[in-house]
Amino acid sequence: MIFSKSTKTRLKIFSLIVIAASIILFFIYNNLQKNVVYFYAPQDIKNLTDTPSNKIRLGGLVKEGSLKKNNNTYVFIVTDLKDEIFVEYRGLLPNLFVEGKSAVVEGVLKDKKYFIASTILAKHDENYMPPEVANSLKKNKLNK
Amino acid sequence: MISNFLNMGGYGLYIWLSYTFAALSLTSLYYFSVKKLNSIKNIEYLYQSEKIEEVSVSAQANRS
Amino acid sequence: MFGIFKPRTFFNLANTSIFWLKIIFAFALVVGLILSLVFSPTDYLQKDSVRIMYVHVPSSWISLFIFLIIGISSFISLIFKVRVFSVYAKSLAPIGLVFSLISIVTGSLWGYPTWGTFWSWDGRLTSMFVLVLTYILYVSLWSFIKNYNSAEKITNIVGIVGLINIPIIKFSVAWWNTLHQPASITLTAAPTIHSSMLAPLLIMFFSFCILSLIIFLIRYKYEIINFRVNKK
Repeated sequence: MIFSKSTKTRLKIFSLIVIAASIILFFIYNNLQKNVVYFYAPQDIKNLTDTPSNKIRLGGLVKEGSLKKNNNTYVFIVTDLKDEIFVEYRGLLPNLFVEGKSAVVEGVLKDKKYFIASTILAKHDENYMPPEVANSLKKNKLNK
Repeated sequence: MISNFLNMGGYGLYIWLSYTFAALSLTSLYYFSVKKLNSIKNIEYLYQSEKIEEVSVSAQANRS
Repeated sequence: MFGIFKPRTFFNLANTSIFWLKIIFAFALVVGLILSLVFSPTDYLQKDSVRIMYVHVPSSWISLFIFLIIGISSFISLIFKVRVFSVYAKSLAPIGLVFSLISIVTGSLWGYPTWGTFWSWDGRLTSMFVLVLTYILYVSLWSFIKNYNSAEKITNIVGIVGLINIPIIKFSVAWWNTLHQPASITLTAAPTIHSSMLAPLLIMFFSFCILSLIIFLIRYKYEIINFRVNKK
Protein backbone atom coordinates (compact mmCIF):
# COMPACT_ATOMS: atom_id res chain seq x y z
CA MET A 1 0.00 0.00 0.00
CA ILE A 2 1.23 3.44 -0.84
CA PHE A 3 0.58 6.26 1.56
CA SER A 4 1.85 9.76 1.11
CA LYS A 5 4.24 10.97 3.75
CA SER A 6 1.71 13.32 5.31
CA THR A 7 -0.90 10.56 5.49
CA LYS A 8 1.56 8.39 7.36
CA THR A 9 2.30 11.20 9.79
CA ARG A 10 -1.41 11.78 10.36
CA LEU A 11 -1.94 8.09 10.96
CA LYS A 12 0.93 7.99 13.44
CA ILE A 13 -0.40 11.00 15.33
CA PHE A 14 -3.92 9.64 15.32
CA SER A 15 -2.87 6.29 16.74
CA LEU A 16 -0.68 7.97 19.35
CA ILE A 17 -3.65 10.00 20.55
CA VAL A 18 -5.94 6.97 20.58
CA ILE A 19 -3.44 4.95 22.61
CA ALA A 20 -2.85 7.76 25.05
CA ALA A 21 -6.55 8.55 25.40
CA SER A 22 -7.44 4.92 26.01
CA ILE A 23 -4.74 4.59 28.70
CA ILE A 24 -6.07 7.71 30.41
CA LEU A 25 -9.69 6.61 30.07
CA PHE A 26 -8.77 3.19 31.43
CA PHE A 27 -7.33 4.74 34.56
CA ILE A 28 -10.28 7.05 35.02
CA TYR A 29 -12.68 4.15 34.52
CA ASN A 30 -10.73 2.01 36.96
CA ASN A 31 -10.67 4.83 39.43
CA LEU A 32 -14.41 5.36 39.22
CA GLN A 33 -15.11 1.65 39.47
CA LYS A 34 -13.01 0.83 42.48
CA ASN A 35 -11.75 3.96 44.08
CA VAL A 36 -14.71 6.25 44.29
CA VAL A 37 -15.43 3.81 47.05
CA TYR A 38 -11.76 3.69 48.04
CA PHE A 39 -12.85 2.42 51.43
CA TYR A 40 -16.09 1.60 53.24
CA ALA A 41 -17.03 3.07 56.60
CA PRO A 42 -18.33 0.63 59.24
CA GLN A 43 -21.84 1.99 58.68
CA ASP A 44 -21.63 1.27 54.92
CA ILE A 45 -20.78 -2.32 55.75
CA LYS A 46 -23.72 -2.62 58.11
CA ASN A 47 -25.99 -1.39 55.33
CA LEU A 48 -24.69 -3.90 52.75
CA THR A 49 -27.26 -6.52 51.86
CA ASP A 50 -24.77 -9.37 51.65
CA THR A 51 -21.23 -9.94 52.91
CA PRO A 52 -18.82 -9.35 50.01
CA SER A 53 -16.34 -12.18 49.62
CA ASN A 54 -13.72 -10.22 47.67
CA LYS A 55 -11.00 -8.00 49.09
CA ILE A 56 -12.33 -4.65 50.28
CA ARG A 57 -11.02 -1.67 52.22
CA LEU A 58 -12.44 -0.49 55.50
CA GLY A 59 -11.66 2.94 56.90
CA GLY A 60 -12.37 4.79 60.12
CA LEU A 61 -11.01 5.76 63.51
CA VAL A 62 -9.10 3.23 65.57
CA LYS A 63 -11.10 3.21 68.79
CA GLU A 64 -9.14 4.43 71.82
CA GLY A 65 -8.15 1.65 74.17
CA SER A 66 -9.23 -1.12 71.78
CA LEU A 67 -5.82 -2.20 70.43
CA LYS A 68 -4.73 -5.55 71.86
CA LYS A 69 -1.68 -7.57 70.95
CA ASN A 70 -1.62 -11.34 71.15
CA ASN A 71 1.68 -12.84 69.93
CA ASN A 72 1.93 -11.40 66.43
CA THR A 73 -1.77 -10.76 66.01
CA TYR A 74 -3.36 -7.42 66.65
CA VAL A 75 -7.06 -6.97 67.28
CA PHE A 76 -8.66 -3.55 67.39
CA ILE A 77 -11.93 -1.78 66.69
CA VAL A 78 -12.53 0.49 63.70
CA THR A 79 -15.37 2.91 64.26
CA ASP A 80 -17.09 5.77 62.45
CA LEU A 81 -18.65 6.81 65.79
CA LYS A 82 -21.88 5.10 64.71
CA ASP A 83 -20.95 1.47 64.11
CA GLU A 84 -17.96 -0.61 65.07
CA ILE A 85 -16.14 -3.52 63.47
CA PHE A 86 -13.48 -5.76 64.99
CA VAL A 87 -10.33 -6.02 62.89
CA GLU A 88 -7.77 -8.78 63.16
CA TYR A 89 -4.31 -8.22 61.69
CA ARG A 90 -1.08 -10.17 61.65
CA GLY A 91 2.08 -8.23 60.83
CA LEU A 92 3.85 -4.96 61.43
CA LEU A 93 1.88 -1.80 62.14
CA PRO A 94 2.84 1.41 60.28
CA ASN A 95 4.35 4.20 62.40
CA LEU A 96 1.38 6.49 62.12
CA PHE A 97 -1.02 3.81 63.29
CA VAL A 98 -2.24 5.28 66.59
CA GLU A 99 -5.37 4.75 68.65
CA GLY A 100 -7.79 7.61 68.12
CA LYS A 101 -6.49 8.29 64.58
CA SER A 102 -7.70 7.13 61.18
CA ALA A 103 -6.58 4.02 59.39
CA VAL A 104 -7.52 2.16 56.23
CA VAL A 105 -7.39 -1.63 56.40
CA GLU A 106 -7.44 -3.97 53.40
CA GLY A 107 -8.76 -7.48 53.62
CA VAL A 108 -11.91 -9.59 53.72
CA LEU A 109 -15.00 -9.61 55.90
CA LYS A 110 -15.52 -12.74 57.96
CA ASP A 111 -18.94 -11.47 58.88
CA LYS A 112 -20.40 -8.02 59.28
CA LYS A 113 -18.79 -7.53 62.67
CA TYR A 114 -15.38 -9.07 62.02
CA PHE A 115 -12.78 -8.07 59.45
CA ILE A 116 -9.58 -9.94 58.67
CA ALA A 117 -6.99 -7.46 57.43
CA SER A 118 -4.04 -8.30 55.24
CA THR A 119 -2.70 -4.74 54.91
CA ILE A 120 -2.95 -1.74 57.19
CA LEU A 121 -2.48 1.80 55.92
CA ALA A 122 -2.33 4.62 58.43
CA LYS A 123 -4.30 7.65 57.28
CA HIS A 124 -2.97 11.03 58.22
CA ASP A 125 -5.35 13.96 58.70
CA GLU A 126 -4.97 17.59 57.61
CA ASN A 127 -3.53 18.73 60.96
CA TYR A 128 0.17 19.46 61.19
CA MET A 129 1.64 20.68 64.49
CA PRO A 130 4.71 20.36 66.70
CA PRO A 131 4.49 17.84 69.61
CA GLU A 132 4.32 20.61 72.25
CA VAL A 133 1.25 22.11 70.60
CA ALA A 134 -0.36 18.68 70.36
CA ASN A 135 0.33 18.06 74.06
CA SER A 136 -1.12 21.36 75.20
CA LEU A 137 -4.19 20.74 73.03
CA LYS A 138 -4.59 17.34 74.68
CA LYS A 139 -4.25 18.88 78.16
CA ASN A 140 -6.84 21.53 77.39
CA LYS A 141 -9.20 18.82 76.21
CA LEU A 142 -8.73 16.81 79.41
CA ASN A 143 -9.21 19.85 81.65
CA LYS A 144 -12.58 20.66 80.14
CA MET B 1 25.71 15.45 66.11
CA ILE B 2 26.00 15.28 62.34
CA SER B 3 24.91 11.67 62.14
CA ASN B 4 21.98 12.60 64.35
CA PHE B 5 21.01 15.33 61.90
CA LEU B 6 21.40 13.01 58.91
CA ASN B 7 19.36 10.30 60.59
CA MET B 8 16.36 12.64 61.10
CA GLY B 9 14.75 10.45 63.74
CA GLY B 10 14.86 7.38 61.51
CA TYR B 11 13.27 9.09 58.50
CA GLY B 12 16.62 10.29 57.11
CA LEU B 13 16.69 7.93 54.14
CA TYR B 14 13.27 9.05 52.85
CA ILE B 15 13.91 12.74 53.53
CA TRP B 16 17.33 12.86 51.88
CA LEU B 17 16.13 10.78 48.91
CA SER B 18 13.24 13.23 48.40
CA TYR B 19 15.40 16.33 48.57
CA THR B 20 18.09 14.76 46.37
CA PHE B 21 15.58 13.71 43.73
CA ALA B 22 14.07 17.20 43.65
CA ALA B 23 17.50 18.87 43.50
CA LEU B 24 18.81 16.59 40.75
CA SER B 25 15.75 16.81 38.52
CA LEU B 26 15.46 20.60 38.83
CA THR B 27 19.19 21.09 38.23
CA SER B 28 19.12 18.96 35.11
CA LEU B 29 15.99 20.77 33.85
CA TYR B 30 17.83 24.09 34.29
CA TYR B 31 21.01 22.73 32.72
CA PHE B 32 19.28 21.36 29.62
CA SER B 33 17.21 24.52 29.18
CA VAL B 34 20.35 26.69 29.23
CA LYS B 35 22.17 24.27 26.92
CA LYS B 36 19.32 24.35 24.42
CA LEU B 37 19.28 28.16 24.41
CA ASN B 38 23.03 28.40 24.04
CA SER B 39 22.88 26.17 20.97
CA ILE B 40 21.60 29.20 19.07
CA LYS B 41 24.43 31.65 18.52
CA ASN B 42 24.03 35.44 18.54
CA ILE B 43 20.46 35.30 19.73
CA GLU B 44 20.35 38.86 21.02
CA TYR B 45 21.50 40.31 17.71
CA LEU B 46 19.36 38.05 15.59
CA TYR B 47 16.31 38.66 17.67
CA GLN B 48 16.65 42.41 18.05
CA SER B 49 17.39 42.98 14.36
CA GLU B 50 14.31 40.92 13.50
CA LYS B 51 15.96 39.54 10.43
CA ILE B 52 13.97 36.36 10.54
CA GLU B 53 15.66 35.09 7.41
CA GLU B 54 18.99 35.09 9.15
CA VAL B 55 17.54 33.60 12.31
CA SER B 56 16.09 30.83 10.28
CA VAL B 57 19.33 30.13 8.44
CA SER B 58 21.58 30.20 11.49
CA ALA B 59 19.16 28.28 13.69
CA GLN B 60 19.00 25.49 11.15
CA ALA B 61 22.73 25.58 10.68
CA ASN B 62 23.16 25.16 14.42
CA ARG B 63 20.65 22.41 14.67
CA SER B 64 22.37 20.20 12.17
CA MET C 1 -1.64 47.56 28.54
CA PHE C 2 -1.11 44.25 26.82
CA GLY C 3 2.36 45.34 25.76
CA ILE C 4 3.88 42.75 28.07
CA PHE C 5 2.48 40.00 25.86
CA LYS C 6 4.38 41.35 22.86
CA PRO C 7 7.27 38.96 22.32
CA ARG C 8 9.88 41.69 22.06
CA THR C 9 8.87 43.47 25.27
CA PHE C 10 8.81 40.16 27.05
CA PHE C 11 12.18 39.21 25.63
CA ASN C 12 13.81 42.43 26.87
CA LEU C 13 12.14 42.04 30.25
CA ALA C 14 13.56 38.54 30.52
CA ASN C 15 17.08 39.79 29.83
CA THR C 16 17.03 42.43 32.53
CA SER C 17 15.18 40.51 35.22
CA ILE C 18 16.84 37.09 35.10
CA PHE C 19 19.89 38.16 37.12
CA TRP C 20 17.81 39.55 39.97
CA LEU C 21 15.48 36.58 39.86
CA LYS C 22 18.46 34.28 40.35
CA ILE C 23 19.57 36.25 43.42
CA ILE C 24 16.07 36.20 44.92
CA PHE C 25 15.80 32.49 44.21
CA ALA C 26 19.15 31.66 45.85
CA PHE C 27 18.23 33.67 48.94
CA ALA C 28 14.73 32.17 49.28
CA LEU C 29 16.04 28.64 48.70
CA VAL C 30 18.74 28.92 51.38
CA VAL C 31 16.30 30.37 53.92
CA GLY C 32 13.65 27.81 52.96
CA LEU C 33 16.04 24.84 53.22
CA ILE C 34 17.47 25.93 56.57
CA LEU C 35 13.97 26.45 57.96
CA SER C 36 12.59 23.19 56.61
CA LEU C 37 15.54 20.95 57.46
CA VAL C 38 16.84 22.49 60.69
CA PHE C 39 14.56 24.94 62.46
CA SER C 40 11.06 23.68 61.74
CA PRO C 41 9.69 21.39 64.46
CA THR C 42 8.83 17.73 63.97
CA ASP C 43 5.17 16.82 63.63
CA TYR C 44 3.48 15.20 66.65
CA LEU C 45 2.60 12.09 64.61
CA GLN C 46 4.72 12.11 61.47
CA LYS C 47 7.90 13.09 63.38
CA ASP C 48 10.65 14.17 60.99
CA SER C 49 8.97 12.76 57.88
CA VAL C 50 6.90 15.95 57.79
CA ARG C 51 9.99 17.63 56.28
CA ILE C 52 9.28 15.89 52.96
CA MET C 53 6.11 17.98 52.77
CA TYR C 54 8.16 21.16 52.26
CA VAL C 55 9.23 19.82 48.85
CA HIS C 56 6.16 17.73 48.03
CA VAL C 57 3.40 20.29 48.54
CA PRO C 58 5.02 23.24 46.67
CA SER C 59 5.88 20.90 43.75
CA SER C 60 2.30 19.66 43.56
CA TRP C 61 0.90 23.19 43.66
CA ILE C 62 3.24 24.34 40.91
CA SER C 63 2.54 21.34 38.68
CA LEU C 64 -1.21 22.04 38.95
CA PHE C 65 -0.79 25.79 38.49
CA ILE C 66 1.42 25.35 35.43
CA PHE C 67 -1.09 23.00 33.81
CA LEU C 68 -3.81 25.53 34.49
CA ILE C 69 -1.77 28.16 32.62
CA ILE C 70 -1.06 25.67 29.79
CA GLY C 71 -4.77 24.91 29.46
CA ILE C 72 -5.84 28.55 29.41
CA SER C 73 -3.02 29.50 27.02
CA SER C 74 -3.98 26.63 24.70
CA PHE C 75 -7.54 27.89 24.69
CA ILE C 76 -6.48 31.46 23.84
CA SER C 77 -4.15 30.17 21.15
CA LEU C 78 -6.66 27.82 19.56
CA ILE C 79 -9.76 29.99 19.71
CA PHE C 80 -8.39 33.53 19.42
CA LYS C 81 -5.30 32.66 17.39
CA VAL C 82 -2.97 34.62 19.66
CA ARG C 83 -0.21 32.24 18.82
CA VAL C 84 2.39 33.49 21.29
CA PHE C 85 0.31 31.75 23.99
CA SER C 86 1.23 28.37 22.50
CA VAL C 87 4.84 29.41 22.97
CA TYR C 88 4.16 30.16 26.65
CA ALA C 89 2.50 26.77 27.05
CA LYS C 90 5.27 24.95 25.21
CA SER C 91 7.97 26.59 27.34
CA LEU C 92 6.13 25.81 30.57
CA ALA C 93 5.27 22.15 29.92
CA PRO C 94 8.65 20.53 30.75
CA ILE C 95 8.80 22.52 34.00
CA GLY C 96 5.36 21.27 34.99
CA LEU C 97 6.33 17.71 34.05
CA VAL C 98 9.42 17.80 36.29
CA PHE C 99 7.46 19.25 39.22
CA SER C 100 4.68 16.67 38.85
CA LEU C 101 7.30 13.90 38.90
CA ILE C 102 8.89 15.41 42.01
CA SER C 103 5.45 15.51 43.60
CA ILE C 104 4.84 11.81 42.89
CA VAL C 105 8.30 10.62 43.94
CA THR C 106 8.48 12.64 47.17
CA GLY C 107 4.89 11.69 47.92
CA SER C 108 5.73 7.99 47.66
CA LEU C 109 8.81 8.49 49.82
CA TRP C 110 6.57 10.12 52.42
CA GLY C 111 3.83 7.53 52.06
CA TYR C 112 6.01 4.50 52.71
CA PRO C 113 7.10 5.37 56.27
CA THR C 114 3.79 7.01 57.24
CA TRP C 115 0.94 5.20 55.46
CA GLY C 116 2.82 1.97 55.08
CA THR C 117 2.75 1.91 51.26
CA PHE C 118 4.51 3.68 48.40
CA TRP C 119 1.42 3.80 46.25
CA SER C 120 -2.31 3.21 46.41
CA TRP C 121 -4.87 3.89 43.70
CA ASP C 122 -7.02 6.34 45.62
CA GLY C 123 -8.69 9.36 44.01
CA ARG C 124 -5.88 11.85 44.59
CA LEU C 125 -2.99 9.60 43.61
CA THR C 126 -4.74 8.31 40.49
CA SER C 127 -5.71 11.75 39.24
CA MET C 128 -2.16 13.00 39.89
CA PHE C 129 -0.85 10.02 37.88
CA VAL C 130 -3.15 11.05 35.02
CA LEU C 131 -1.65 14.57 35.20
CA VAL C 132 1.85 13.14 34.76
CA LEU C 133 0.63 11.11 31.73
CA THR C 134 -0.97 14.23 30.27
CA TYR C 135 2.27 16.19 30.70
CA ILE C 136 4.24 13.37 29.03
CA LEU C 137 1.74 13.27 26.14
CA TYR C 138 1.87 17.07 25.76
CA VAL C 139 5.67 17.28 25.74
CA SER C 140 6.16 14.25 23.47
CA LEU C 141 3.60 15.49 20.92
CA TRP C 142 5.61 18.70 20.55
CA SER C 143 8.77 16.71 19.89
CA PHE C 144 7.24 13.98 17.68
CA ILE C 145 5.25 16.20 15.31
CA LYS C 146 7.68 17.94 13.03
CA ASN C 147 5.22 20.34 11.41
CA TYR C 148 4.96 23.30 13.79
CA ASN C 149 1.40 24.27 12.91
CA SER C 150 -0.10 20.84 13.37
CA ALA C 151 1.90 20.28 16.57
CA GLU C 152 0.53 23.55 17.86
CA LYS C 153 -3.05 22.60 17.07
CA ILE C 154 -2.87 19.13 18.58
CA THR C 155 -1.07 20.19 21.75
CA ASN C 156 -3.60 22.99 22.19
CA ILE C 157 -6.35 20.37 22.17
CA VAL C 158 -4.43 18.19 24.66
CA GLY C 159 -3.96 21.23 26.91
CA ILE C 160 -7.66 22.04 26.84
CA VAL C 161 -8.83 18.46 27.38
CA GLY C 162 -6.26 17.97 30.16
CA LEU C 163 -7.75 20.92 31.99
CA ILE C 164 -10.67 18.68 33.03
CA ASN C 165 -8.30 16.84 35.34
CA ILE C 166 -7.27 19.90 37.39
CA PRO C 167 -10.48 20.30 39.42
CA ILE C 168 -10.60 16.51 39.79
CA ILE C 169 -7.16 16.53 41.42
CA LYS C 170 -7.99 19.52 43.58
CA PHE C 171 -11.31 18.22 44.91
CA SER C 172 -10.61 14.47 44.86
CA VAL C 173 -9.88 14.51 48.60
CA ALA C 174 -13.20 16.23 49.27
CA TRP C 175 -15.40 14.23 46.87
CA TRP C 176 -14.27 10.73 47.66
CA ASN C 177 -12.84 8.67 50.48
CA THR C 178 -9.12 8.82 49.87
CA LEU C 179 -6.01 7.67 51.63
CA HIS C 180 -4.50 11.08 50.95
CA GLN C 181 -5.28 13.67 53.61
CA PRO C 182 -7.60 16.60 52.80
CA ALA C 183 -6.22 20.07 52.08
CA SER C 184 -4.69 21.88 55.06
CA ILE C 185 -4.60 25.24 53.36
CA THR C 186 -7.83 26.48 51.80
CA LEU C 187 -9.15 29.85 50.76
CA THR C 188 -12.19 29.60 53.00
CA ALA C 189 -10.81 28.51 56.38
CA ALA C 190 -7.78 29.07 58.60
CA PRO C 191 -4.95 26.67 57.77
CA THR C 192 -4.83 23.55 59.93
CA ILE C 193 -1.08 23.62 59.85
CA HIS C 194 0.96 25.24 62.61
CA SER C 195 2.63 28.57 61.72
CA SER C 196 6.11 27.15 62.46
CA MET C 197 5.51 24.64 59.63
CA LEU C 198 3.56 26.98 57.38
CA ALA C 199 6.49 29.42 57.14
CA PRO C 200 9.03 27.01 55.55
CA LEU C 201 6.26 25.62 53.31
CA LEU C 202 5.41 29.04 51.90
CA ILE C 203 9.07 30.09 51.53
CA MET C 204 9.87 26.89 49.65
CA PHE C 205 6.81 27.49 47.47
CA PHE C 206 8.01 31.03 46.76
CA SER C 207 11.51 29.87 45.82
CA PHE C 208 10.10 27.13 43.54
CA CYS C 209 7.89 29.74 41.85
CA ILE C 210 10.91 31.97 41.18
CA LEU C 211 12.88 28.99 39.86
CA SER C 212 10.00 28.09 37.54
CA LEU C 213 9.95 31.67 36.28
CA ILE C 214 13.71 31.63 35.62
CA ILE C 215 13.57 28.35 33.70
CA PHE C 216 10.45 29.53 31.88
CA LEU C 217 12.21 32.71 30.71
CA ILE C 218 15.18 30.68 29.45
CA ARG C 219 12.97 28.21 27.60
CA TYR C 220 10.76 31.01 26.30
CA LYS C 221 13.75 32.74 24.68
CA TYR C 222 14.55 29.53 22.83
CA GLU C 223 10.98 28.76 21.85
CA ILE C 224 10.14 32.26 20.60
CA ILE C 225 13.07 32.09 18.18
CA ASN C 226 11.97 28.61 17.20
CA PHE C 227 8.45 29.97 16.64
CA ARG C 228 9.65 32.81 14.42
CA VAL C 229 11.68 30.37 12.36
CA ASN C 230 8.77 27.96 11.94
CA LYS C 231 6.05 30.55 11.40
CA LYS C 232 7.29 31.18 7.91
